Amino acid sequence: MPFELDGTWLAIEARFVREVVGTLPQIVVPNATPQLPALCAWRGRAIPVLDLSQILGIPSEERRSKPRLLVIETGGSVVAIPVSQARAVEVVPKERLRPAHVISNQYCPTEIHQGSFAAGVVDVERIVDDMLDHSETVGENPIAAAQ
Amino acid sequence: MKTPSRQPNETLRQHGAGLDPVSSYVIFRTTPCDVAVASKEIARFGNLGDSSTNRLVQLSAILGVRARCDEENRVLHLTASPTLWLMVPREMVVVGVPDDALLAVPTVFRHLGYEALLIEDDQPRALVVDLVQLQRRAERYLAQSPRDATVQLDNFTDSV
Repeated sequence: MPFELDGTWLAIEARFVREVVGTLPQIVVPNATPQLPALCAWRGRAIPVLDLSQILGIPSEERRSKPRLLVIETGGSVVAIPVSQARAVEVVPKERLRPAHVISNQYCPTEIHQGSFAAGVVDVERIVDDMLDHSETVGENPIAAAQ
Repeated sequence: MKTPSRQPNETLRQHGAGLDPVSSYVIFRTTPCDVAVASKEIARFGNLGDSSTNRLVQLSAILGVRARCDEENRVLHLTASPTLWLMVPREMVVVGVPDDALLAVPTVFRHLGYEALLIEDDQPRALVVDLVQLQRRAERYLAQSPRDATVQLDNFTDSV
């Protein structure tokens, strides 16, 4: 599923996407990391809001409004990712996957190419795994810990 | 303290009014979010005044929040920790919360001192404080900043 985040097109494997919703009310959690700054309620669960712009290192001056939320489930964890817009799911043959160069980030190792369109494929399993595990220590920055 | 209103589920079911079990919570008005404590966990409330203690810590300092009204001049102690006093914001509200309006938070946020998200009208209203962690942090805070001076307390009340 392709989606736009602060002017950059990315994609996520559709099998992880539970729902695309409009913005949900969020509550900012004191002392939380910038990567997991808030919580929202979704289908009777309190789920973390994951700031993908922070994780991918998108400069703050490029940040835009994010009126959509991707609700993602992986490894039993559910997170919400605010995005600028999302497109319909597309089937992408493996030969269209290439090593990433649009975004150079450990969490975005490959890209999809389709004509002139390119989108970085987000490794959401790794992100959720790292963010929810490394953040176990209060105040520890999971990005810094991963580097 | 007046009996906080965790009503027995059985009683409600027996009356068959279709009511959810309800617990009482005190919500303190703070930023960046409101924080809540179960009323039944609060033994007494008081004000800064004539009695004294050197075991007083600010709730805001422990949780990383700030009183919305900048007035943090009430004190309370918890049932489980009668010698520890917490300074709390003056602005607070008591609400009845059905059990299904309390959503457990993921572990990553439990380590920050919260155990549940309190929902009101299907929207996040406040974070419920994990009192075991709160007491642990308060004791650590006191140990790290020992003080000789006592703080004056008075006007204790048995209800919120």
